[in-house]
Amino acid sequence: MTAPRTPPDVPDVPKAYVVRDFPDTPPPFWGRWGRIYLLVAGLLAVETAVFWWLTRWAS
Amino acid sequence: MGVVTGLAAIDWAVLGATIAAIVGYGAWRTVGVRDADSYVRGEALRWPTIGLGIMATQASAITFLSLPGQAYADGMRFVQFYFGLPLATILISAVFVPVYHRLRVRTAYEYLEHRFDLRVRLLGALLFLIGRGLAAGITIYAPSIILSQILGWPLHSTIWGIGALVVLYVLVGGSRAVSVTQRQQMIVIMIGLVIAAAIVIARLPDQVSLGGAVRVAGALGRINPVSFQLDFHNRYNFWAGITGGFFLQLSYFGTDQSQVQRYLSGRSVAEMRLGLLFNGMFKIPMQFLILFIGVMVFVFFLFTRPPMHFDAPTLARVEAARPTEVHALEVRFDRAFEAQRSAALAFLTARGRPEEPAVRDQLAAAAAEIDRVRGDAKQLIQATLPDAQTRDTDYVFLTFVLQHIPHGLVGLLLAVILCAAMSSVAGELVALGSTTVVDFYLRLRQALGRPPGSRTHDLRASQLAMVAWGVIVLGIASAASLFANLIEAVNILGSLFYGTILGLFVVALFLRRITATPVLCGAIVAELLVITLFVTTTLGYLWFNAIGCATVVAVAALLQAALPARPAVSSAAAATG
Repeated sequence: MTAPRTPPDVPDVPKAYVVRDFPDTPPPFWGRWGRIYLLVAGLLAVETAVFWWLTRWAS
Repeated sequence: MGVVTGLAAIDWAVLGATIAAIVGYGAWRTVGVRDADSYVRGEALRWPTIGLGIMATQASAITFLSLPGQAYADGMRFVQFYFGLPLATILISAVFVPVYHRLRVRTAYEYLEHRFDLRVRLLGALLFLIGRGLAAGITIYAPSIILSQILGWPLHSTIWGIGALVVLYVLVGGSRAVSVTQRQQMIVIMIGLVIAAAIVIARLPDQVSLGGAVRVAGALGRINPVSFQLDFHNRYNFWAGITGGFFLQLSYFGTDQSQVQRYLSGRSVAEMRLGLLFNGMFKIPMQFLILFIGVMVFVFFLFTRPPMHFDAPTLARVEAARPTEVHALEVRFDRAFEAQRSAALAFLTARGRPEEPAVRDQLAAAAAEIDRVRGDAKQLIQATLPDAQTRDTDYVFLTFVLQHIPHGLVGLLLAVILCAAMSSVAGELVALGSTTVVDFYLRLRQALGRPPGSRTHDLRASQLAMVAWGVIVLGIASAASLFANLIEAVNILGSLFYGTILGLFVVALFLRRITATPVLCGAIVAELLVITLFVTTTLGYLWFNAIGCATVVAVAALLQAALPARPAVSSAAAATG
């Protein structure tokens, strides 16, 4: 079992206020989903490049 | 290939069978819903259903009526409006989804109580109900007015007919019925779009290849899907899309219950994320396809004479009053059209030759003459019928469908438009009903110390809320003719509330030292500021999103700094303490 966490800016708080979990806190942004996020962002970059080429080719 | 100007029996059959099958399937699949929780939350859906539901909720009928017309008149630059969407879905998947799932919230605003308190939750929910309720009325009015004008259907019967069908299956199956039917509706929409694209390309003259069609559209400024030119007066460029669009889509997908409800019904965080990211990946290609169909309709009408004004009923009223002037304009339009057709054919054969620049200039001049005649026609309409709309781009695609697509497929494409209307309105209705019941009725019962109701009681309350919102939304739709420009009205209404709601969530998720009272004051100040700016200035409405969000954050941060510091603890810890 991991040690209970306390809020970093409250070094010494009563035991009743020890925070074991932050259920409403977002998890770290880059987990194993990072590669899928990169894929989605990469697709946006490819679409933008294709649209730019199409704009130039057709004008 | 038969050319039609109205609906044949086979069109009615296809239209009726498609709609009846979807509504019947949705009611049959969800008839067993027995408690309020599964009624408002839906049940354990997989990502393809979530993804299609998200797309179907966003794509309203006006998308399929207006976008091709917009591409016809203005090219494809509107697609840049969606460039912020993939980035917004990434942020929502990474930050919003795990929090919503971990707290097992049924509405987005429930999270605000976890993070702040009941007052903030009620404020967020109230702002959503006002903004979305008004917008839903216009969502249903916009296609109804166009369908009734073109097809001669009575306006109020069209509004209440679409509304009654939606209320029927939402009443039976709640959120799950919406998800199930949206999947079928989106499949019909996709099939319809592909068929429409194939038909319009097939209907081009033999000497016009697909490449040639794109070239001639490009020469007339219609192939413009991306521009990197930074211009603050141009609403649609890469930079506006990637920044302004990002905030707008973040607010819509992250905090608007009509969208949040679609992915809250996911089986797991992974399914919810995949459903959202599916939308992030395929929304831009879908919008591109719709705009491309509009551009191909534009090219088609370079070689086949289009109406001088696409809103034929309005032009007919003007012609009845001033026949000579309309006839003179039609003669001018005939001449301009023939000149443009000849110039377009010459441009296609001159490609790559020395004479290409000169022919291109001739084509541009011919197109400018067409625009002048159309402008004169609009002036005549305005002079004759001061209350009439002169904007006719919403009628372009429906005119093409009714006059140049074979029987049977006309019914299918009308089914696409009605499916889009029903799917977006259903998503909005179920979100309005859920928010009313979960955030107000059930929560306030709890706050007043009343005992929990039975499962049947809560289910009936949820169903009653859906029906009540159905009646309210249809009432708003019946009065929506008060708004001059419908699409703009929807966007303005959204922008009046989205910024403040987004500000609440930004503070909740990213500024963890800020507590309930400062953020509540910040939201009230922001909303008052936005409404004051809307009433007293001519500031572009898209700015309201950024101003509302920034004001909530700034006022809340300032007030928090002014308050005495106290230990920050999570609600879970406080509860156990």
